[in-house]
Amino acid sequence: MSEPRAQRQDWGGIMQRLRADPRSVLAASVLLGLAIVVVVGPMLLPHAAYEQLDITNLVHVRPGREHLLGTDAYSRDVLARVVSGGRVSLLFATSAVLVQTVIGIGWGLSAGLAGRRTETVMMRCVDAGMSVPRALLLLAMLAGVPQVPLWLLVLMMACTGWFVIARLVHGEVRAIRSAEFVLAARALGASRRRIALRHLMPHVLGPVLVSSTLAVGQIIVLEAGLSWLGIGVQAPRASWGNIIGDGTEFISSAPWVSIAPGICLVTVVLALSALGDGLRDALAPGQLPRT
Amino acid sequence: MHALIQRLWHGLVVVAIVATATFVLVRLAPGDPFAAALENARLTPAIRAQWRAAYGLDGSVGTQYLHWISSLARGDLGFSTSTNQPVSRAIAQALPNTMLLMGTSVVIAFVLGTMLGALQASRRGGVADRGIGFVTLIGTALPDFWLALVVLLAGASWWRLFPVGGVADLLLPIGAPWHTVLLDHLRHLVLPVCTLVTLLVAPVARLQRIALLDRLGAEWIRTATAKGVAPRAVFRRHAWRTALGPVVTLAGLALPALFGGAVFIEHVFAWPGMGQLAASAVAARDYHLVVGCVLVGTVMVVAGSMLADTLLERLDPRVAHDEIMAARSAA
Repeated sequence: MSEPRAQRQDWGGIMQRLRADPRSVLAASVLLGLAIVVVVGPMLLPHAAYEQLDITNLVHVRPGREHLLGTDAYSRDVLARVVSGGRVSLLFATSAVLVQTVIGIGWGLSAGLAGRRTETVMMRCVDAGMSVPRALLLLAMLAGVPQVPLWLLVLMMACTGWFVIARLVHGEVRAIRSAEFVLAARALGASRRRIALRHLMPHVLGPVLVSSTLAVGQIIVLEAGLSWLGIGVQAPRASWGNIIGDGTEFISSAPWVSIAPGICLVTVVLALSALGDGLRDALAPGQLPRT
Repeated sequence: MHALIQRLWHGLVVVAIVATATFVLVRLAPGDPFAAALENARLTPAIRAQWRAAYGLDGSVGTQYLHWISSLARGDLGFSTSTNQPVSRAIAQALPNTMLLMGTSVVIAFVLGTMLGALQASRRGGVADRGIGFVTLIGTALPDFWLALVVLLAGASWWRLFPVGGVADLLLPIGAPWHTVLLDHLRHLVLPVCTLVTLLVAPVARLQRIALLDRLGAEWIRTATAKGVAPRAVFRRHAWRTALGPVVTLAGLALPALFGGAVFIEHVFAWPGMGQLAASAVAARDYHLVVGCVLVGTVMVVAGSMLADTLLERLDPRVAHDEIMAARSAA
């Protein structure tokens, strides 16, 4: 391990290396393009996501000219639903990741700077959190709430997801907390809070950014899974997960309903993981990528 | 020996925290096991109160917790109100199914994954490397439940090769010869195992490739080659063996996700395992069964990662405990 220096991440250099990496550029463009589509799409499309066009004649129309991705069991246009569901899925995942990153950084920094006892207790809690199957825990927490409001869902997702970030931050802090620049700051009388925010935080942000990028993908998939089971995003609001769920019952007669949002899921997760990998390489040039 | 005791103690603490947290969490959400009975007008509040008392759900959370812990110490996980049997019996029925499904998938995925990763590393930059790399990249992005649906659609609906779900054919005559029964079980295993293997192979192969490439550049590999060891032996005995370490760590780490994913995959294939049991327990607000399922899941995960750590030390004795922790936080 190299000697930690009191230096901020070189964000300009990181951006430069990212731009030089075709994989990251492609991934970022795909994500950006998708974001634009889900934001402006609903205004341009001929049908609304909730609109039941003709419940007697237009049920399960095959993909074609009129309906590019077909219609579902309620005669709703699948394309409109996928676009509107993408808005929900992407917004949901980004906000959940933001919340969990803040919790994780706070916890990790506090644990790293706390006394030995407190540190052990805090990190044992993180170990415990990481050992519980997350889907199971969310299921246990959510099933009792009849119509889960979206903000509560975001909060619960974040509350079950910050452990990885906390451990990552704690690990980084442990590695640099006795470095000279930290000791110097301490000797100058800087408070714990100041040391955490001004001196340790810049070092931690890089790895956290990578981990959070990957976490967005995980959360999109997890939210989709929960919505597919019917306990995540609630109808009539569309999300990729509950569109797949709507199609599941008719999977053999009208597979297009479930397949289109699934392909969107795969694309987004793929782009996010490519971007995460690219970021990791850009942050530590010359090092072998880890996974 | 000391390290083993420490590890066991650590695991116990983790399980205790999880058990306590889940115990409180399921009680925080509104409703209780008898809330569904509210719709039945003939069940007066008095009857429901009587039920709650009979199942020990009338006290404060603290009292209930103390009661539960003392039964747990005697090996009693409580009574499942939704399946009307002791929690331990409900779990005993579901756990073997999940273990069979996961065990088979994990073994196949790790054997296949390490082989693919090794193949990639030995032909770095070649067609095989790039092809497998592309496929495994997509594999890491597949949502579990969606892949299960697609596999189901392809294998059971389009081509009708395999049964749609369940562990056994219900129409199989009683007293059928053993090989028919076995074949029937295997046929039911194919699709869910395919799904899980697809999900697991990708990260294993990718990690194995990177670990191998990392080892192949090491100086002791050059030394071995210079000493005249055959290239195959260098690859297998010197590089591959040490490169297994990260993969074993991954196996330990993948367990929670695997167990969580089981909820979805078991749901798609109607596989009567722990995931299905937990999901139905949650829906019925069957407190003891929910806590029991989470507890068993966590114990399995903790035991799995302890096993992985121990195995890692065997594979590479230089690995100290701290390094394992470091590798874990990096993964």
